[in-house]
Formats: sequence, C-alpha cells, structure tokens
Amino acid sequence: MIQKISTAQAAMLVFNAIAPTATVVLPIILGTYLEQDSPIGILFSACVGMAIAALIGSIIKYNQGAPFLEWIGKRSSRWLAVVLGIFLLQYYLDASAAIMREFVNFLKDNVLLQTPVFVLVGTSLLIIIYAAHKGIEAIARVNSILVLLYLLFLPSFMFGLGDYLNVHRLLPMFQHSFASVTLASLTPVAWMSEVSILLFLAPYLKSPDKARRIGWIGLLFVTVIMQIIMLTTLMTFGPEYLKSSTYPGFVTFDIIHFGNFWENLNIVFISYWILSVYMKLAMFLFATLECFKQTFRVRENGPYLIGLALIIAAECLFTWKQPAKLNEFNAQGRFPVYMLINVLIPLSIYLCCLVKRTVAKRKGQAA
Amino acid sequence: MKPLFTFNNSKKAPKNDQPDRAVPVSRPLSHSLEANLLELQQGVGKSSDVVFRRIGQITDKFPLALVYINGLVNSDKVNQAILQPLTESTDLKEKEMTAEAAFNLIQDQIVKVSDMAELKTFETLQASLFEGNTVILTEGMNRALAADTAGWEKRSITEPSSHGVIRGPKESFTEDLRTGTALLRRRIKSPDLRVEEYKIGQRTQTSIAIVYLKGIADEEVLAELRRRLNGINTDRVLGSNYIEELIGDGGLTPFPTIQNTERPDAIAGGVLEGQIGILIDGTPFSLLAPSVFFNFFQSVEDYNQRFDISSFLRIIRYLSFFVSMMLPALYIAITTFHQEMVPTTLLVSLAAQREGVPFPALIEALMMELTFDVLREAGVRMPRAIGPAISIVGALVLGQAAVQAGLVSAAMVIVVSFTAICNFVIPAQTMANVIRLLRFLMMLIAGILGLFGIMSFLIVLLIHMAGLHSFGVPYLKPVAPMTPRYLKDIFIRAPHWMMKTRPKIAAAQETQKQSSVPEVKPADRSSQHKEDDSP
Amino acid sequence: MNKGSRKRSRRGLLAILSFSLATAGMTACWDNRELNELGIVSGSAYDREDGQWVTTYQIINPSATSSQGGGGGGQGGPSPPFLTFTERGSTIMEAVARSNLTSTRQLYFAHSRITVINEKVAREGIAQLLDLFLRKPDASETVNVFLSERRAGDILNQLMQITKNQGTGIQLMIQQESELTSYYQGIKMFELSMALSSESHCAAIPEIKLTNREIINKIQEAESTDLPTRIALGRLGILKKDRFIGWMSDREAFGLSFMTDKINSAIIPFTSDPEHNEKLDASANLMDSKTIVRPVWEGDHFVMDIDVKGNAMLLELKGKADLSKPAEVSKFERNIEQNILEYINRSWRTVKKLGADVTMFAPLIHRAFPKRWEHIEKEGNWDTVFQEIEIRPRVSISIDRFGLSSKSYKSVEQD
Repeated sequence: MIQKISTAQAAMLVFNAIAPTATVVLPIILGTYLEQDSPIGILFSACVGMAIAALIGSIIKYNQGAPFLEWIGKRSSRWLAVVLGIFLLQYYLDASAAIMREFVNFLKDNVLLQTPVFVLVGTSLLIIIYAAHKGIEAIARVNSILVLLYLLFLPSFMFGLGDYLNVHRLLPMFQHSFASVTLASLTPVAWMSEVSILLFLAPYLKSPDKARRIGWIGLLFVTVIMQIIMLTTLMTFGPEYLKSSTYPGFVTFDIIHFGNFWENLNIVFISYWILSVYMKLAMFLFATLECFKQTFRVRENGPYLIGLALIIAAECLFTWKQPAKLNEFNAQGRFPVYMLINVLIPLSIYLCCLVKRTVAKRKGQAA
Repeated sequence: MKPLFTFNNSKKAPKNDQPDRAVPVSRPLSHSLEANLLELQQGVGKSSDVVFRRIGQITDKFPLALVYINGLVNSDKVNQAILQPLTESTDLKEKEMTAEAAFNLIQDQIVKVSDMAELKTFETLQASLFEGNTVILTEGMNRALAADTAGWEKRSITEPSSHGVIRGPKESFTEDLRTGTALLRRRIKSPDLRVEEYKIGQRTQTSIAIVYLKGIADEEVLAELRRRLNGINTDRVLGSNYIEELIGDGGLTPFPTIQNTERPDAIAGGVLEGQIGILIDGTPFSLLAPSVFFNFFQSVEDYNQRFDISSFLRIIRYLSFFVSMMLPALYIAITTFHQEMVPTTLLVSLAAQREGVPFPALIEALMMELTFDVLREAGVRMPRAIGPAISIVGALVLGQAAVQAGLVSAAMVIVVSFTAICNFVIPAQTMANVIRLLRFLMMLIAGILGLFGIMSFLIVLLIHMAGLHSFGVPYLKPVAPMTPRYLKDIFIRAPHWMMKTRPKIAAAQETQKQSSVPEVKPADRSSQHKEDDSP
Repeated sequence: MNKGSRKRSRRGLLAILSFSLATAGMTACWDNRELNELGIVSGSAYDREDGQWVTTYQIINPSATSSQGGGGGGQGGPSPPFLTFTERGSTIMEAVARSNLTSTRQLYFAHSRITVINEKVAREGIAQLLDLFLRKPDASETVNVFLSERRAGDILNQLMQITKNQGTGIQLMIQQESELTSYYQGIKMFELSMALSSESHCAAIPEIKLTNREIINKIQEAESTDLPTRIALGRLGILKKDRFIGWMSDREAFGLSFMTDKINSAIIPFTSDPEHNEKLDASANLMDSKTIVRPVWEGDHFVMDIDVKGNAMLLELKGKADLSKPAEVSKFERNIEQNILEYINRSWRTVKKLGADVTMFAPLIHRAFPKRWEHIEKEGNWDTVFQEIEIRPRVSISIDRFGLSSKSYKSVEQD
C-alpha cells in the first residue's frame, strides 16, 4: 500500500523542511549585512522562494506526481537519470550531514556541553532511521502535530518577551541599498530553495496538482515565523547586539521570564526546536533514501536506509568538524550548490518539457 | 493492511456448521444404538458428569438413550420436557412404525424443547453435549437429536467493579455470552444490530460474538476482523486478553489498539460510533475495535455528565497522562541537567533536601518508582482483610520514614506519589499500564541525556504512534491526520446537540447522528418555553 | 506484520534495552550534575588588586536558607545563609578554577542575581567581564550589575535581614526602587552590553554600598533590629565605552529618568505656596509619566524636544489649600512641573559635563536623521555634536486625584 499525505500535511512538511535550521543560521547572516532592515531581506528572499516553489510545483503538476528520477529516465535517457540521481544523492547526503552537524553543534554549545558528539549523533541517527523506516505518512503526521504546537509556544514566547519589545529599535528603515539587500538575501534564498524536497515527496501527495500551493503555503509560514523571530530579536536587542551573538535566533529565549520566579526558560523552547529539527532530518533522510531508490531502481529500504544514515553520520562527524568551516559554508558555499540543485536543474527540466510540449503541439497542429 | 497472521491452517465456520477442526476426519454415527453409546463413552472416558440414560429397554420396541452432562443442563427441563414425554408417550410404546417415523415423531411432537437440531457425526454430538444440550439417540437411526436444555449456574448481573460511574447505568456484563448480547439488544433496538458468533480455541471451544451496526460499521474493518478471528490458531481462550493479543495490531507495541470494558453501555456507545464489539464467553470483559489513542481517554461518564465538566475532566486526564509518564523523568532532567530552569527558592529547598541523600537522583527515582509498583502489586494480590495494612506500611514506611532516614528526598516522594495518583486518573487500565512501563525508560534516558533525551524519547513515541494502526484506522486519528470537525469529542466533549454527525474515525462514513431538519437549539428551546408560559 | 519482522523488532528492542541499561551505569558523567554537588552562586563581585583579578562568589547554603533544613543536618548553632569564596587569578576564569581548591562544590552561575564591580575595575574597562558573561553558556545574562566604590567583595559578605538570600534581596531592592521611586533603573548584564554596543556607547549602572565601615558578617550580629551597617543603593555610575567615567547623584539620576522615559512612579516634593514660602512643604505621587524626545536639527546643532506628560496624586500638604478650586490645583501643577524641569536641567548639565550620552540621544538621532548620522559616524565627531546639543524640556503634569480629603488639614483647622 502506497502511503499518501494530504495537502495540508505536505505544506507543513515543507515548512519544517526549512524553518528549524533557518531560524538558527539566517538571523546572523541577515543581521550582519542588513541590521535593522533584515525583515526586508526575509521578505525579498520569500518572494524568490515563492518563484522557486512555483517552478517545482509546475514540474510536479506536469509529471502528475511520478517519481522524479524514474520520470526523467523515461522521458529522456536512463543514464541521464542515473547521473542526475547521483548528483542529487550527493547533495542530499551533504545537506543532511550539514543539518545534523548544525544540530549537534547547537546542542554542544547550549545544552549538553560535555556529552560526546558521537552520542548525540548516534541518538539522533537512531531516531531518524526509525522515522524514515516508518515512512512519510508517520513523519507527516508527527510533523503536523509539532507545527500545531506553535499555537502554544508562540504566544508564550511573545508574552514572556513582552517587557522588552521596543518598536523603535527597527528604525531607521530602508537604510541599506538594494544591492546589499540582494547580497544578504542570497543565503536565505538558498534555504528557501529547499522547497525542492517536494520533488521527492511528490509520489506521496494525495493531490500532486496542488504542489504549487503546497510550496507557497509552506514558504508563507516559514516567512511568518522567520519574520517573528527576526522582529522580536531586533526589537529586544537592536541590531548591534545581534551581530555579536552566535545564535541570534535564540538569544531572546535567554531573557524570557514569567514574573520573578520563572526565568531561564530557553531550554523549553530549545526542546521544541529539537523536535522540529528531528522532523527536518527525518525528511531529508527520507528524501535521500527516495533519491537512492529511484537512482538505482531498488525497492526495499532496510539495509540501504542504515547505510545512507551511516554515511551521513560519518560526513557529519568528520567533514564538518570545524564550526568555522560550517559557518563559512553556510554564508557562502551553500548558495551556488543549492541554486544549481534546487533551481537550475528543475528549471532546465521544466524548460525542456515546455519546449517538448510546444513541439508536440505544433506537430499535432501540422498533422 | 498487512495480515497479522499468515499461518492459518484450518477454516472455521459459524456455529451451526460442523465444528470439526480438532479432528479433520469426521466419524458418522452408526445405526446401532449400542455401538453409538459405546463410541461416545470411549470418547469422553469415564467422566463422571456425563449421564447416559436409557429408555424403552423393557418394551424393546424403540430403545432410546439420553446423553447429557450433569451441571450443564437444567435438570428440571430435561425431566419435564424430554424424559417425561418420552416415557409417557403412548404412541412410542404401542404404535408400530419404522425407526425413521419414530425419530420424526420424537422430534416433532414428543420432545417439548424450543431449539432442536439433528446431528450426524460424533464430533458434532460431543460439541453439542458440551454446550449443555441433551442428545437423544435412537436404535436404528444414524442420526441423533440435540435438544437445547442448557442451564448452568450463572452469576447475576452486578455493578461493574472496575469501571464505576457516578451517574449512569449500573449494569455490567457477566461471564455468560447470552446475557451480554441481551444487554446490548436491550440498549440498541435496531434490526441493524448484528451478532455474529465464532468458536475459538480447539480445546476450549469458547464462543465469541462480534456485535456491530450494519451500515455504520466499516465493512473493510469487519472483513479484516473476521479474517483475523478466523486466523486464530490456539487451543484456549480464557479471557478477553487472549483475543486482544491474538488479533491486535502493531506487533510489540506497548500501546493498546483494542479497548476493553465490562460496561454494556460503553460497548453500545462504541457500536453506535461504528466500532465493533467483541463479546467473549467466560469473561465479563468485552472488547471494542478499532480503537484509536483518544478512545482510551473517553469514559462513559463523560456522556452522562454535562459537557462543561466532562470537557474539564477530559483535559485533566490528558494532563495526568503526560504528568504520569514524564514527571519523574522531568524531575531528574531538571534537577541534574537544567537547574537553571527551577525558580531559585525552589532550587535551594530542593538542594537542601538532597543534602545527605546518598544516591544520585536517577537511582533515587528508580528505587522509589519500583517500590511503588511493588506496593501496588501487593495491594492487588493481598486478601482484602490485609489491604489496609499494606497502605499503612506503604504510606508510613516509604513516605515518612524513608525521608527521615535520609534515604530519599521529600520532593522525590511527592513526585512519585503524584505520578502514581495521576496514573489512576486515566480511565482505561490498559493505557495506564503503558505509562507504567514507559516511565522507566524515560527516566533512564532523562538521567543520561536530560531534556534532550526526553524530547528524543517523545519523538520516537510520537513516530511510533503515528505509524500505528488499529484495524486500518490510524492510531492518532483525528489529530494526525487532522480533521478539525472530528475534534468535538476528543480533547473536549461538545454538548450532545452540537455533535450532529458521526465522525469517520471508526465508522465507514460520516453519517448523521441527529436529524438536522427540525433543529432546536438550546436558545430556541428556552424561548419556546417562555411562550408557553406567557398566556 | 509477518513473523520475520516481529523477530527483528524483538531483537531491536533487546538492543535498545541493553543499550539503556549499559548507559545507566555511565550516568553521573557528561553533563549530569547532582544538586548536592553544586554551589549555587547567588552573587559575584570583581575587584582588581596588584594587577590580578580578585573574584568573590557568594554561594547559597541550602540547609540554612530553606525552611525545611534538610534531612541529615541538625547541627548545633545556626549556619549563615550563604558563604563567600575569594580567589585571585590573572584571568577571571582562572580565579573561578582556583575556587575549586577551597570549595567542596562546583560553582554554578545560572542562578546568580547580582554582579558587583569595583569602581577601579570599571575605570580600567569591563570588556573582559562582559565577554565572559555573554560567552559562557551557564552564566545568565539577566544578572543585575552594580558598581561599588569600596572592595566589591565586602558587599557580598554583608548579611541582610528578612531576606536570607542576599542576591535575591538586592535584586528585589533595585526592582522596588525603580517601581516606586524611579531615581534610576537596575541594569542587567545584557542590557548593559546592549547599551554599550548601541550608537551612544554609554550606560548607567547603579551604585551599591554599605552604610558603614564595618561589615555584618556573623549571624549573631545580624540579630539586632537596627543593623549598624546595611546594604544601600547609592549613586549612578556612568560608563562610556566600557569604562567608568563618573558618578551622578541620585537627584541627577532622577532627572535622567525623566529624560529617558524610565519613570514608573515617583514622589515629587514641591512648594505649595512659592510666593510666601520657598521651602518644600508638599509632595505628590507621580502615578504615570510619559516622555517623548524628538530631535530637531536647527541649522548647526541638534535640539532635543523633551515632552514629559504625567498624572499625579496629591499626598501631603502643609499650607492652606482648597482643592475644589481649579486655580489652586493648577498652581500646584505648575510648581511640580517647575521642580521636574529643575531636575532635568540639573541632570543635563551633569551629563554634558561628563560628556557621556547616557540620555541615549544618539539612537534617536540615528533613527530620525539617518543621513546626518552617517555623516557624524564617518567624521567620528559625535562627542562634539553631543556637546552642542541643546535640550528643550516641556513638562505638563495634571493632578487628578487628591486622596481622601478635599481640603488641606490647615484649612480645616482654621475654618
């Protein structure tokens, strides 16, 4: 029985495929370039993200939710599909490892300072293997519950910060040139382009026609959440303080307090964040597995799942050992790779399809 | 849906067919009465409760024999409806007729029992005996008659002992299957209420009835349930858990996917929502399937009280569930990993209590939790007269003295006792037991990885539950996958007049519970009342 | 589910079980700290002597502080509610590390409420300290910061009455001061670093002091009703670019509170009858007050329009007055306004003298005149621009409540 996920669930998946790590990485990148104008940067990158979502959605609509690589294999040559598959596989393995490393770094910095890295990696690995093994349906369901929990966490977050918010810290607006807005938005655009994970979720969509809408809704939520975090951070601390912090998206958690008796609640919010990162990781592992299965035309999951997970773990443990290296990759190296995989490849495929269709139409008319 | 059991080696049929599973070859009756009796006697051995009663040996015209099991039959009935007519029948004594005609005469006129059946093999004959029938064998016939004379000692209907309510019916099922189906019929007087019977267990031959509402219960679920029941290969069914484990989903999941209750109104309620009731002979506990996670937090009491208080109580139950599962783990995580979270004053007094406690918090908590479970088990097993002694020993020794002796901290005693009390709030015992086990795992992981560990464990649990099904129904339905309009009876209990449709959780379709045409809202009701009063 | 996968999942379960049992043995390593291994720090103090850091930590003594007194204890005499450790080191963390040589407990900073910095340390710069607090994960950014003229460690040794936990007590003191009196606000570590990293690069830290030379640090000494020495809040210390540059008296600080819109509630003494009597003989409680500061560019310098609006309640009155007459009331209002104006001007003179923008004018100008601010930043002449700033305060106070009597007692007496 093939598992199916509804449109709303898919939109939430897209949301959690982007939001959890974006909230850690983006504020500092945006804040360094744009300071108090960062919200504009988010809006700008959201617009670009929407365009990418539209592109991905169009492809899915065009192939009616067929497995992506198999579809390419059928339409063009088998070998192109394999080459493309290996490319994508490499990208997904890389991305998963980077996410995992960010997650572990964050835990090491904030929560478990002494616990060895391999324990953290091992624990999260077991969990995501289990999740990916259970399939996309289970992931989507848990994910939807987690997204609904925002209804609980967001108000308490805002309430706890109440005293500190100062709108004037957002002034003066539009101080930065359009060029710097574009420059700062490059990285967020790269993150937004992760919406392309939809290509691998497509076979499981109940209604692949709505893929475009799924992407848009997901990105809309990402934008809203990013905006809330960015705005609250700016409004509490102002742009200068933000630049000096490693995790600007989380500094606000430190000062949340309810009355005089309940302080230092950051761990509560971090726990919630941990849950959503698990979802993101599980999704990426699932997409990696899908990619692998489609590339090499295998049907069963078992051994490959564990193998892929181990590769991710190894890459996470050894390639990204230096936090500085990862930060640099986040700030600069990510953009070209993400653009190539998430935008350029789908775009060229889409264009090919368009050309083919018009040619076919003309032929039809000619005949 | 994948089949749960694939090692189905014999096909089983409903009651009135031949229950011939134990011995594949059936042995027909012979024409000779003596031979038949001999064979029967060999079959049951020298069991003292099997009665062989011969009639008509003197006249020699139509020798007969009655066979029944003492204790399973109502002996008054046997005497008055079978023995007396047979012995007093002048036709049988005087008329000349063939064995066939006599057999028909007995069946049609002489024996005054409502339910009669013809038997042709020894196997059916034996099975019929064990159900309390009286078997009539005649000379010259290779068929036998079975007259329903069942009547054994039964417990009368009492108040439910495990699922008490304050306002609501006070009947409970008894061990007798017929009483059970009757109690249900009395609650749902609809021709759509169907009862299907199965015999399960090669040796125990336990009767099992599945009860459902035709048109409301999902046919796919029904087919799946029938398939699983037919697939059961066991020699015994002595209680409802045998069935529950043999047909339940999920392999090694700790979570129950089938509800059990001894309340007929609970089963009736479930059946009306599209669930299928499974009644088992020999136990007052019946099953309801398919059951989702949230069913285990609903209690019949919710529907017998006003919606506001029921909603409040239900929220309390969910809270208790989480508290009971996580409180000790959270205590460990917070006091050994995340001390910054605790308000300073509280932290200082916790620290003061921990001065002089020799064990780490994890060991302390494990010790106390285990002690509590020991006490609880002791409380259940103790004869009633000694019960109070246990509670005194438990409360005094473990509460007061352990703290004073410096073995555990006072806060830990509070945590453990509150956890225990919360555990009793959950209406379904099976669900409460899940937490008792998970709690220990959670404490262990909290002691190793703190809140991160707890969160990791929670997400594993969530993923596990999200992947679980009960007869094809997702276990977390209607929350994940989410259907907002089905949430009226999940976390809260909406007023009855708001729940117009039957949610498609267990039911096949979303159907009307209340006709929506002459809709009278509470506000309208009161205004009508006023108008009546005013003139 | 078939038999095979059942078997597999059973093996999985066994693996998980044995893993967790094995790791249960390893507990008590990694990040896990038992409560009775922790020394809960409630306050810290930093001094510098002979080019070395001298750090003092105040550790809560749980069994003396909590009402319950613990299970094992029961020693004879009362033990002090907190203990202090003083250590030296060339860096702050070295001093912390050295504390492990004398203390039985590992220092735990997350519940620290106050940090006292010696004036001399502050003169040399507190960048190192700020960095430590923002970097170290378990140091809470929400500690209240104070300056001290005498050895900062002495403050932490002083016992307090009623409140056993001194750190919390001092935090309460500064909170109540800012709620009810509003001379100045307490400042938390992250607020301090925010202020210092803002455009104005200035911050104000309240002073904490002991009212007498000797320190009450024995529990028996603390048993009198009127302690000879108490902890008290004093002046307001001004920092510019992480260095201490001078003090403002509490009155001057009061004016600063008006300028920076930090008034929650304040008592304003005033003269009820300035024509006949110059003495302050009445007071009003400023219930709420709002200040709006608007920078205006006037050709060659900035002028700050400071608008203070507030509502007050009359509290005490010496002279004759009939409060039912609006003229009488508005006379009082004008007197109050006059007084507040006086506070503001006095405070502004001091601020100008110190040359430190604790009034936070720089961010305001940045927001209102981004182009001009860019120019100032490029030139790096904010200090001279600041010296040329002129303030134009306007105060309007309305007395809208008179308490329970409508006439002054003196008027009643004479009637």
